[in-house]
Amino acid sequence: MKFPIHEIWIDDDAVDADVTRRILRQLPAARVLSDPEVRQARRNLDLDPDPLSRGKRILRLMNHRGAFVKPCPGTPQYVCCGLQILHIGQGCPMDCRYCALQAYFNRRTLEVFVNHDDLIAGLRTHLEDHPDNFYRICTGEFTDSLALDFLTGLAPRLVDFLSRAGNAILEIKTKTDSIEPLLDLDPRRRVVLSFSVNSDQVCRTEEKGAASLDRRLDAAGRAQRSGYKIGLHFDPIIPHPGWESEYCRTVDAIFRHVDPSMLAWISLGVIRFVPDLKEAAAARFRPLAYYHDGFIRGLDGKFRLPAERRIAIYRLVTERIRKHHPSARIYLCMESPRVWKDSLGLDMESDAELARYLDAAFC
Amino acid sequence: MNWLENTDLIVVDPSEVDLDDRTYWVPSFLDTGELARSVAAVGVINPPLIQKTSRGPMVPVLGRRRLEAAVNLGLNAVKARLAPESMPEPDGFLLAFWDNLGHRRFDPATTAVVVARLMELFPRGVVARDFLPLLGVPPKGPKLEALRMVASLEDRALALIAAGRLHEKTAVLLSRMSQEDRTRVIDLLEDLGVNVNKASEIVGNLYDLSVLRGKSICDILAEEQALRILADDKLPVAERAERLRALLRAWKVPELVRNEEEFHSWVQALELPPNVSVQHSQAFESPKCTVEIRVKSREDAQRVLDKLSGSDLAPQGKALDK
Repeated sequence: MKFPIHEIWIDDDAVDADVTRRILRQLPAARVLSDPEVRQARRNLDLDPDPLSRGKRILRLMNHRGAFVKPCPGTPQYVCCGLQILHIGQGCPMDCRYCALQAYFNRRTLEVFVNHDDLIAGLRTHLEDHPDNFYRICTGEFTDSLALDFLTGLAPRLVDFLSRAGNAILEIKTKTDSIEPLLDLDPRRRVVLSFSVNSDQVCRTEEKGAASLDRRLDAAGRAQRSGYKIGLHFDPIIPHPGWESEYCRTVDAIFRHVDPSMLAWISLGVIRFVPDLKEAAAARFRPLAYYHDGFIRGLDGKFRLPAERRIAIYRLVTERIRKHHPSARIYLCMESPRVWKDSLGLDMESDAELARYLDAAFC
Repeated sequence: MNWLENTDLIVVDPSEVDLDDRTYWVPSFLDTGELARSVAAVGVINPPLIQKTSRGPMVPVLGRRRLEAAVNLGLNAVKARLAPESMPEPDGFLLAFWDNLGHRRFDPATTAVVVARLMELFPRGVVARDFLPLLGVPPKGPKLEALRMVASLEDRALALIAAGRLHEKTAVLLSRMSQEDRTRVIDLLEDLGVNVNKASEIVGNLYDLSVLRGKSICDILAEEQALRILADDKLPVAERAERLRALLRAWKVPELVRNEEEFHSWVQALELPPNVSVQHSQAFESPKCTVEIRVKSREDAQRVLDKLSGSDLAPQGKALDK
């Protein structure tokens, strides 16, 4: 999958980077703006009625100066999995209508960090400084892990590096099926290729620009045959009319494509969002019924469905998964111990317990 | 060009000026009583500025309210300055803009109307550079779109916004409704006289229910339970408003309301002394409860803690060990 890029904004200190040159070679038709022109272009973008949509066609190439490895923002009020985010850039060329990033960043372009050598060095230092810790490292939190990899070529380098790391595994998380460059590598069973999955209806209507569910699952099948562990993320689960049968169909489809022995984990997360997201999406799209459901304010201030409804949803999806794979490592994203207990029957009281539960897939 | 230097002083019948014309409209939702009294006492002191247009009637550029007052008082001759037909709309609007900005602070509704009109007349970049800083509006596209939606509302809604009885976000929701629904909601808000936050909750819940159920707001408000509340003339208006709010909330988050009712019944059955209360967690997200015991002094507080320290509910910490 290749996403259209119309403009490239290059920070002064990123002009000479190898990755910048590589990207420019691949996008000869894109209009290239340097620093002084970018200031005016940014003002114009800010004034656009829908800067997010326009920003998805603009690539900003820059060096990242902060830490590359950061804990997932998570939320202290609920049980979180202790994932570490490898910061490769931010923004996504796909346009999911429920996407939290619509209300998360105030910069609207697709930002790609081109100082890959610094990134690898930062990663190496992080792992070497904490040799007794075990890290699940993911690149798909603030962007899709693979959507822009056709330009950057970073993912194969990360697979090569992290598949040899003793105290970490890599999770590549995507809604694309752009896995070809990874298939000839040896992940040494230390790399999880994860696919965000949903009901077919949600995939078709809400995930603009993403690969179809079939293509994602087909990619998962090919990835496992190349030795990758597979992760699946049902997030956000949206209880649209007919959701029960639709999500069951997705679960059934998963197990037609994926060998249970290659499944690292399956996460579930019922739709939740910061209040600003409802307004941001309303301004960009027609009214979407699911944003208007009976949400309560959760302990973290986000809108969530009442716990009873979340539990019912988790139970249904979990039962279907367990029908195919009784010992599947299912986990909940940002949920309370009560919801864990009542939906999965598991005592999960703390972040550390959940981290151990997931680490066990590799340790 | 300074068009004010190219005007003719004329005498005009104010009823011949099209006061509904919005070409140069900078709205004001202030009470015009004092202005009317002034005009009644001494006439129109400063001649309004009007323009003859190619499409027919004269239109007001400056002094619309003075002309309105004159019409209402039945005056048929008012001195006015006539701007040439050749004065372009952007120039005329800028006269109105600067004239108003110079002597009053714009309320949110006026700001929305002015920004929307500026965007019709000038490129966005010019509006952002030359006008938004004066109006205190951030140069962000989505914000400008929101203001444009607010500006599209009927005058009744704008008046509520100007009076501080509707938030901008609530006004944006109104702009997304069908005209029929919007009229019904504005009628409702005017009838109930609720404050800005309650108006926000009522409008938000009505809109959510409408989208989720795929029904019009008029249909939702015509449901029997709602009708019963709204038609109960014996209830004070404030009580009607509260009952409607509660009904909409129960429709919107039935699980939460059911849990609250059960919890409340349980607490009532405990027959707690007046200085003790029990609260549930935020939206029942956790089974935890908070027990509050209000005491008169530190000594009483110490006694409560001492009593607790022997039980399995004893809080952990140094304070109790002392």
